[in-house]
Amino acid sequence: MRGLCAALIFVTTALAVGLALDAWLQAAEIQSPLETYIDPIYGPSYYPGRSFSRFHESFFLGGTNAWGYLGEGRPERNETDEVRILLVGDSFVLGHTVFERHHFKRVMERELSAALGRRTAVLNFARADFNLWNMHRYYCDFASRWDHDLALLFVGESDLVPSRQVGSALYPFSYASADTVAADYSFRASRQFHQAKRLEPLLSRLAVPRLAFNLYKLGLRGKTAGILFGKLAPARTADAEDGRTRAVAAVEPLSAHSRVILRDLARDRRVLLVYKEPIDDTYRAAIDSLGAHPFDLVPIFTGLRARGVEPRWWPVTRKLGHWNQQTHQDIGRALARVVLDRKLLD
Amino acid sequence: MLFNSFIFVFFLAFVWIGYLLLRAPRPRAVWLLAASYAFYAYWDWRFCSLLVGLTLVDFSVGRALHAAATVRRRKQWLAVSLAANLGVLGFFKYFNFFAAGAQAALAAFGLELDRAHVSIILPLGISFVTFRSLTYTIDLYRRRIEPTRSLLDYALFIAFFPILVAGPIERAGNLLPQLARLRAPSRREIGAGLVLICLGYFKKVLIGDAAGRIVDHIFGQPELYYSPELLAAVILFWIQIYADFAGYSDIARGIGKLFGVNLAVNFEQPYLSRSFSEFWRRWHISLSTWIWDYLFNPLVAAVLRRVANWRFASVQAEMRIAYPVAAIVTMLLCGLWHGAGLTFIVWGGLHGLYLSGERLFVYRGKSIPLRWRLRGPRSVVRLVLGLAATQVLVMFAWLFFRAENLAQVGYFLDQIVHWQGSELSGRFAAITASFMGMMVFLDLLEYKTGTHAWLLKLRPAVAAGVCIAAMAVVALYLATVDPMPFVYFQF
Repeated sequence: MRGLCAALIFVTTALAVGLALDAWLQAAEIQSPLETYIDPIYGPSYYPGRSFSRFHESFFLGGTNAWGYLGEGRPERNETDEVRILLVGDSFVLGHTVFERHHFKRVMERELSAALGRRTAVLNFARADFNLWNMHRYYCDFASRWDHDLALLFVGESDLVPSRQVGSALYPFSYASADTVAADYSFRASRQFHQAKRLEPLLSRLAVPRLAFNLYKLGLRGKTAGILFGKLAPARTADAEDGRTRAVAAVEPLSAHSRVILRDLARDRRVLLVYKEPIDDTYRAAIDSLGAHPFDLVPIFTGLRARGVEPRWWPVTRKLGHWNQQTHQDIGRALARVVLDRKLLD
Repeated sequence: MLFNSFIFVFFLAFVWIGYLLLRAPRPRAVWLLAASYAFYAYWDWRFCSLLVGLTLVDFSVGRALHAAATVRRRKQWLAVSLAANLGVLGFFKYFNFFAAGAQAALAAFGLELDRAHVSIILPLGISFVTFRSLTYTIDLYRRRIEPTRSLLDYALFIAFFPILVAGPIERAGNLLPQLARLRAPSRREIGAGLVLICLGYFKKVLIGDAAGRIVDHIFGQPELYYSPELLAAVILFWIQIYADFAGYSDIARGIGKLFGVNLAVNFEQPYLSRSFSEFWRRWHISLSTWIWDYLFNPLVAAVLRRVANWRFASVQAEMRIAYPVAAIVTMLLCGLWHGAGLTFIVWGGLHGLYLSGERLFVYRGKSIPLRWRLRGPRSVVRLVLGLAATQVLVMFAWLFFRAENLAQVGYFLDQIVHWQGSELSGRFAAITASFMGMMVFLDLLEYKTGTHAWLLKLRPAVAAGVCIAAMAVVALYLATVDPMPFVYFQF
């Protein structure tokens, strides 16, 4: 009986202390609960009104607005006659590495507001692990509901060929069906979806389970041995290090799905495609032939490198990752310039 | 090998089980010595030779010093030890600093010198190793201890892995006798050791490292941040350096207890200090007592001898000169010990000024007890004012300690004085308050219970529950972030 009582006290204390520590982890922003949930229509989506922090490559403090996207929010209807530009892209555009005031959207807002004489709002609808098929679907289903004057869709080579990506299987996506674009929502029938939904109540409220979830994700990327054994862990290959992109020897042709989606986007006068990384000439030619005239960010990176700045280098953590603050500044200025030069808001 | 890494936890478990399986002191000492060298070699095996060299020199000097018949001979042997230890320290840690200084000084007179710069890695914990080694020869010189006859014991005294790279700076008189008679730990020691390790990890990993992440980013690129964020970084560093170092010391003491060795207490709630003299009795105690014994007191005596010739009216008058001079010189050297840079020297100089000013103008030589005596509202007000004033000035000095250079200090101060708010002020205030709250809560628990292992005062089931929950969170956090080295490892 005494043993049982001691066991009960032990378990109760451990749980109480665990919960107290969880609250403290959240208050000190050491770890936030999961800020995303799996929406049955849009896939992984942000909870509205959440604050969270990130420390992976750099220091990020930010949050979502009442409408469930990053940064300062706007309602769907534009009642103030402001210029609205939407950003749709992956983690580079998401900017979980910079404060909102350093994000290129702020530079664009500043420059465009000054040049146009009208208040300009740039709304960030990016999502992690997005590819062309996902972002097209998200643009059609969700982002385009915000009365916008222009939408910028950021793509890289791997986004154009989603078969090469090991992205999130929990997103809906667009595909070509008899020369038109159709939507696939089959993710909500998947085992992964149901597992995620079961864990959601725990992960979205508590920080400690989120830590365990982070560890699980590191395990999936094959980092467990390195965490446990440090220098003594077997060396890992570069492919294993990344773990998110399948290696391919040659350039695959642009799939029929991607072609139809790109053609659909090219027809939309309110859409500008932006290359966020070097693109093979084969793809460039294919995309140009569809009537799209993307804007290329690569010359900006080249310019930064010429000035001795590595666009994705984080000096504090000494990691190569997403765009740093200086790169955001240059991207913001370049995008504002192209919007004005091409008269995309006229 | 970092304490805050899983490989170290496996290493510790392996070494401890091996230690418990061995029954006699000699094999235990051999085992711990081998483990200590393996611990150091994990960082860089080449520097093990440095440990061997310092061990052999000071062991031989110790024997020769003890056998020396005349004072002159004893002084000569002590000089050999000082030259060896300070020579190693000077070469690895200060060569480039002084070479650059000499070059700048000569350039002021129009003399150009080729850049004298040696690319060297600073051996891990070199300052701690040399200071520990010096306690042996200096105490032998002063005839405070007897020399050890066992090279094995002495080698273990220098290399004992819990204190090898960041102290506490153990005195030979305390540690050597324990290492000579290594014994199995009692159940109580194991309990206390595990509790200290658990609390140490909590402080180091969840408070120190978590605060340090923010500090590193803001000090790394301060131009990206506004006044409230810069101020938060200064306060968070005040928390980080304490949690980091006190956490390390708790882990070291806990590990010592697992091997039946009692190591010196290094911290006694320094941020509950109401004065600077109290602060230095609570902060990095093994260093401050080292400095007190081997630097400050001899300096005071030397200054007093000189001042006595000036025929001052009273001893108090003489002390009014001797204390500030000794305090400032000692703290400048203390700053230099921490790092070869102007920022560290200014940090030391500031503490020297604080101590002198306090002695001359505030407390006028009165001693302040370490326990609070609160009698009535006036004493509470005095306590709060003392705490606030002391800690704000300590924080100000830490800014120099953490900054990359003096220009960065200037930038921080300029931005904080010319206050410019940010949209994240509230969040930074909440973050800072949360870290501060946890640190003060733990300090008050230690202060109230009078022990670092305060969990042992609770029912065993409750203590176990707290430890398991805390360690689970620590392990999860540690596994998901890049481990941060201890701040004091660089010294």
